[in-house]
Amino acid sequence: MSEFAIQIDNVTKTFGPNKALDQVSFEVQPQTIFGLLGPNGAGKTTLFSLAANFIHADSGSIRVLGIDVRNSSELRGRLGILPQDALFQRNVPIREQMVFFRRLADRSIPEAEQDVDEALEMVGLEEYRNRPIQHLSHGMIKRLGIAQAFMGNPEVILLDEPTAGLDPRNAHQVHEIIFRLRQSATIMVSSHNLAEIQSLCDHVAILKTGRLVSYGAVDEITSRDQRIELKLSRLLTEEELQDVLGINGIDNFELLDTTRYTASLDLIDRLGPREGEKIGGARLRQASDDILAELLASLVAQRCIPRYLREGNTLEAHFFKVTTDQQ
Amino acid sequence: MMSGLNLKHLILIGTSSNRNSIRSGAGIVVILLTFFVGLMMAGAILTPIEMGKAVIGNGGAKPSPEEEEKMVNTVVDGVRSLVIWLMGGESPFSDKKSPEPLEKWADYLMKDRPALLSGVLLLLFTVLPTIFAVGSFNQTTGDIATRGLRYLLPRTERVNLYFGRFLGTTVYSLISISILVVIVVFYIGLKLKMYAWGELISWGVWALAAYAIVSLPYIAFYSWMSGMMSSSFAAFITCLLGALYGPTLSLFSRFSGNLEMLQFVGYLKYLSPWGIQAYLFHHDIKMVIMATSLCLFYTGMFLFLGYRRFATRDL
Amino acid sequence: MRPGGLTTLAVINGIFALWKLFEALSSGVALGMAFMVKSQGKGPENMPDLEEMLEQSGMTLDLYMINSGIVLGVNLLIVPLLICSLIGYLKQKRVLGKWMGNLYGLVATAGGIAVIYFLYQHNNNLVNMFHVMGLVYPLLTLFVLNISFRKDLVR
Repeated sequence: MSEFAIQIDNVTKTFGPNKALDQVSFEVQPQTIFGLLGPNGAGKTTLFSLAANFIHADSGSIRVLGIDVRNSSELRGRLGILPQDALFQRNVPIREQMVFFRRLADRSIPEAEQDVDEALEMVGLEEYRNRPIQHLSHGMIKRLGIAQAFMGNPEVILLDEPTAGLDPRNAHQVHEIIFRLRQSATIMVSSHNLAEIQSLCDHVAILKTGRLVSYGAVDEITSRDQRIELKLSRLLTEEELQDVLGINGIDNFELLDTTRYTASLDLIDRLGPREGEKIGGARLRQASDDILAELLASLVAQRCIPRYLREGNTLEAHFFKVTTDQQ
Repeated sequence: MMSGLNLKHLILIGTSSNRNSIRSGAGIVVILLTFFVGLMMAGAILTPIEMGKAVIGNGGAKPSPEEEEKMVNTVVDGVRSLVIWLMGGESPFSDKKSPEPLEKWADYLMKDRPALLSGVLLLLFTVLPTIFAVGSFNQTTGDIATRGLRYLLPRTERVNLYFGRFLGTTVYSLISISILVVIVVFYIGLKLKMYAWGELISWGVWALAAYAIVSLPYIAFYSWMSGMMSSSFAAFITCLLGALYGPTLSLFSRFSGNLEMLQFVGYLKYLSPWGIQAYLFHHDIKMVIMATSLCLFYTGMFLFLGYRRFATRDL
Repeated sequence: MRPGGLTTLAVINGIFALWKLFEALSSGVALGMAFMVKSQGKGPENMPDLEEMLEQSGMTLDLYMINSGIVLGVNLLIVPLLICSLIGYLKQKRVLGKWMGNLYGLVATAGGIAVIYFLYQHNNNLVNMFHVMGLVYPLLTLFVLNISFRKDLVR
């Protein structure tokens, strides 16, 4: 029995001249929620498709629950997936389709109907069960997709952009469903919504143009980088901007609009190289305070008064850093 | 490659596919096409007999046995000429005599077997490939395009998806054809009263077996095309071209005149079931076995090529 | 949105409605001509020997009138049923779609069988494969409405 729920091992996948994934490797611990991030075209959906055996990797391997995904018969019933852009049958009532899915799991008709009714109730679609798919809104279809993914209580669930295109209420409902599922399953979820991933996930991996650029626990990743937003009393001159960028720990300082600036802070850089030493949260906060103190002192000295300062999303800071640095 | 084959899944997937086919409308079109075209073909052969009998028995008077026999023989001669032409012989309008083996074969179909039923059954062979194409082109291609198969792949193997839909389509087509043949057999038996029930039913059962055997390679080929294409339209056109391959080559070889160089093109029809399907009604059992074996060979080949592609392609 | 099969049935209903309307008109004309022969002893100007022509094809004038009458009557019934059920299929209505569709199936089947029966009684050679073809669509309608689409026509 593998200690990891999902193991991605040196996976490469090419579509014609485009390398969608390039030697990507990481592991997912059991009974955690794992986030997969990346800009458009990073390879997230490709990775999900490989894990679900929709497509085949050029090299490398993916193991789910210790089983190579190419031996999909052994994983039947243990792996559920919400594909990003798959369509349900148009002419068939949703309950009938879902019952068909459960019948493929060797459930009898009454058992399958019961499973389906429970799943639909869990996602709040029980009153739509005899409607065709065309009667459902985008949010309902997403919830239906999630329902079919966890039906039968699989041990691993892959959710490819489960909240894409949803309004905040629907997205919140999906989050609640995911939290409930983590009691019994390992979940890998992809999203463009960094705040959502930060609140949902225990670990994340970030892809950029098919390569893994960051991987680790969310707490650890978000503690390394910080993003702040300031509104100043006036625009900075070029010389003043260079002074700000010269502060140790400030990665960039960009104008958003009028007199609003955003800055990325690299707390590890501020602390300097500490090989083998685990840096605790207190020291990172100290580093953050030091940088901010130096920044504010520099601005005030130049009579450029900050009107407000707020902390941005820290995962966002890290995401922009790793997906921008390597351009 | 075939690991994971599950009979229960095959049945589930096959029946689900057929149910969805009717719900989508395609299955309804196929049924109507089968019955209307099939019954029209049968009507083309049988109506002259009925009209002839009605005319010679006009005003309600019963025709004499000699009058009726003469009229029936006239029509049967016409059907015989048509049958010979369908089997590759000379046209009904030609003065030339067809080769001896064909004449012997025609004698078997016209004299040893119910002649009118033979004519109907052979005529149905000309349209069946096209009807099968209309019913089979969308076995998997539509779901590949919409990625609907992605909901099924975690639940069953590709082999069950491919062969389940193939079997479902075959059963659906055969049920339609079977009802058609039963209607024609009973129509001839009840209405025309020209043949004994025993010979009608036995020839009808033989025909059903022949249609079952000939349907397999065609539907297997369309299954291959369906699994290869990501567009339903492209699959439809390819399947239609596949259906017309045999008849086009047959016609080409007939109308190539004395150009022997071009007549060889006609032999290319034997690369498809079209060239051998009529031999399923041959009087020599060895020819029937040969035709059956070739049909099964084509079926195996198309299924192998089709599944090999389906098993490895991105879905 | 309705299943594609209901749209297909609606389209075919439309085609059949036009065909049956044409058939009804033809039967009406035929019936008129037959009445003319009955009352005046000869047919219209372009067909004065109608009765003889009918006898040569194996049919009597009375049978021709009965056949035309049945065809006219049945078609006058089923054309509105086809149109109503067409609308019912498109709107997925229970009464307009399912009931009218089933009524069409039953009336058309019964009418077709009646025609076959009357013709067969007189001269079975007057019944042909096209009469059998006329039963296909009504029977198919009954089948799909009550099996495949029984949960769709519910509004």
